[in-house]
Amino acid sequence: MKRNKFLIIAIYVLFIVSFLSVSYTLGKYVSNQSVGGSFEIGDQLYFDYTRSDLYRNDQLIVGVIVNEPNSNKTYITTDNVSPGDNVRYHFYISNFDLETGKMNGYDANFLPVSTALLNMPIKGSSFDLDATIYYRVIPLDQETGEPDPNNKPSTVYSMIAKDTKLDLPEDEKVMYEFYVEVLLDEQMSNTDHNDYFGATLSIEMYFNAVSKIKNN
Amino acid sequence: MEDTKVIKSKTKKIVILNLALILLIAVQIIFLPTVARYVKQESDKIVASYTSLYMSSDGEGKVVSVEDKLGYLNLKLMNYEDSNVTQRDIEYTISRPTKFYNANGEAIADDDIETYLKTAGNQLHVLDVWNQPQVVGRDTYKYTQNIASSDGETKNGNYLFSYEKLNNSAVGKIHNLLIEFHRDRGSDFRGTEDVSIIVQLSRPYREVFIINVKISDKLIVFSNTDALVYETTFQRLYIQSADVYSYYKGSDKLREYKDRNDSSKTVKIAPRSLLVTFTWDNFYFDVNCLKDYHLPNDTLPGTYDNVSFIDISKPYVSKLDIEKKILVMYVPQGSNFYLDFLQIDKANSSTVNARVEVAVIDQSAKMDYDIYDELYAGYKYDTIVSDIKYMNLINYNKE
Repeated sequence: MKRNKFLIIAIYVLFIVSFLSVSYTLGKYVSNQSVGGSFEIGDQLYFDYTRSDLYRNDQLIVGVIVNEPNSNKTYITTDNVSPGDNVRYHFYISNFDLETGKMNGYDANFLPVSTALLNMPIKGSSFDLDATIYYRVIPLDQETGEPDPNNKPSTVYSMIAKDTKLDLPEDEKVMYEFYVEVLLDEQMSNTDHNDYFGATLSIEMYFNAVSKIKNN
Repeated sequence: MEDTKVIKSKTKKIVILNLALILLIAVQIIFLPTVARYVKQESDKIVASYTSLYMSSDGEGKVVSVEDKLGYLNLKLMNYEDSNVTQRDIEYTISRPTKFYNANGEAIADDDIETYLKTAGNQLHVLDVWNQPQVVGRDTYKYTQNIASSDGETKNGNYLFSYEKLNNSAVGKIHNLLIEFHRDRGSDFRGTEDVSIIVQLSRPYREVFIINVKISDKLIVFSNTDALVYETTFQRLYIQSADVYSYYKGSDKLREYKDRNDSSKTVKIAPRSLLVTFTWDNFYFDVNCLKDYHLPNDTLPGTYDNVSFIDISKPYVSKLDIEKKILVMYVPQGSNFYLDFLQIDKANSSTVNARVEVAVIDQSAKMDYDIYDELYAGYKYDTIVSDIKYMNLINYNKE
């Protein structure tokens, strides 16, 4: 009797300890979502996203920031694109606060992803378009966090592939310049300008950062 | 005794086992690394709207006056409609159709076109940028069209309205073209022929604009169609007049005819407005059509006519008598306007008649108005109204 009792108690203790250890481990996973260039220091992972120029057929065009309805998010609008246009949007990602210079606390990998969609309400159709992202490294002065005047960035951009992982290191300031490029399809057969009334190109971009595995 | 020993031994083993297990877990929690990852995602979006296209011309329904198979048309093309301006470059060409098609897109042999058009309901087509048949004027095949001059921008052989930003819109631009029509097919004509000018756009969209003009050896032409005005169907009478009355544009040859009173002498057409008298029956005449033109005092309540500011390029009203159903207008060169009539009694026919008089100068330099009939390559007048000869323009049948 005593033996059985002891056994039950032992199993009970084992169960409790296992439960606590698993909970403690899972509690360390953090997922967060925010928009804009804010960067907070703490025991969480952040990166800085900065919007830049918008081009149509290599000409700089105006992008207007508008508020998304029923949301505190904003997005970029522009107009007067036409079939066959090349649309290109530049942005920057860094692993430090551009205003204060404070660093993130973790090594991380970064990967941007983009999709594009042509919506034609008159024809009641939508079409997927190819959106390709390219990047280059902007060499920085580590003290100021500004682009290094003595070390110009390469003029060549590399294409982001599915297995691309860009570093956001813990102990070094880095900045990447990206651009997402969409080539609009040529005009559909047997259509005229009336078929493109109200048509829009939507480019969605997702910026994913994951901290690297480290000891606890 | 031995049982007791066995029991104690087993108990010891269980205790040791459990303690080892607990120790193992403690070591794992405190000393061994755990997999901990932070994940963050942000997103952004760009929405780009497609451009709108606004393009217009002043050529629709214009009259080209021909002499000796040659005629010229002043045509304006604009990159705007009303206050809307296209905010991208527009590239276009004026195409010269050489092949014609039926409604199914099947080519019609040159020699078969006239036979094809004799069948009621058959229309002439050209193929657009998508190889789809588009209706054109049935006499288009008789004419060769060339651009004699243009002040439009060009790029790589195409005409171009280049985009220039202006505040939140763009600069509205006009291209002035002079198009030469040469009639090189078909028998001699007396009357009015329907010809189309095909404007092919390549940017920002690929499509065609078709401008329909009338080619005539007459100084003034009339046509009518149904028109919906505030959901009411009116009979709309279109009136277009030649750009130049006194001579043939292009050749500068004067319009000269035999003197009606002395066939050994000639008279010349004067560069004066034509005098046109309209009468109607079983129609209401919409006087609002005249609001943009010069009117004699008291013609319409609240209107006035200051002779110091007459715009001689616009038609002007000499007399309007609603009760007697008579309208007398001076129609200058290059006019393009319409008059609306609303049928009163739908059980009966409704008619509109016209009489055209042209200013002629005789050899003694005396100028007078004479009826514009066959003597001047004009019209036949075989309708009598109040003992005056008219020609019938509209005979709107009863329902």
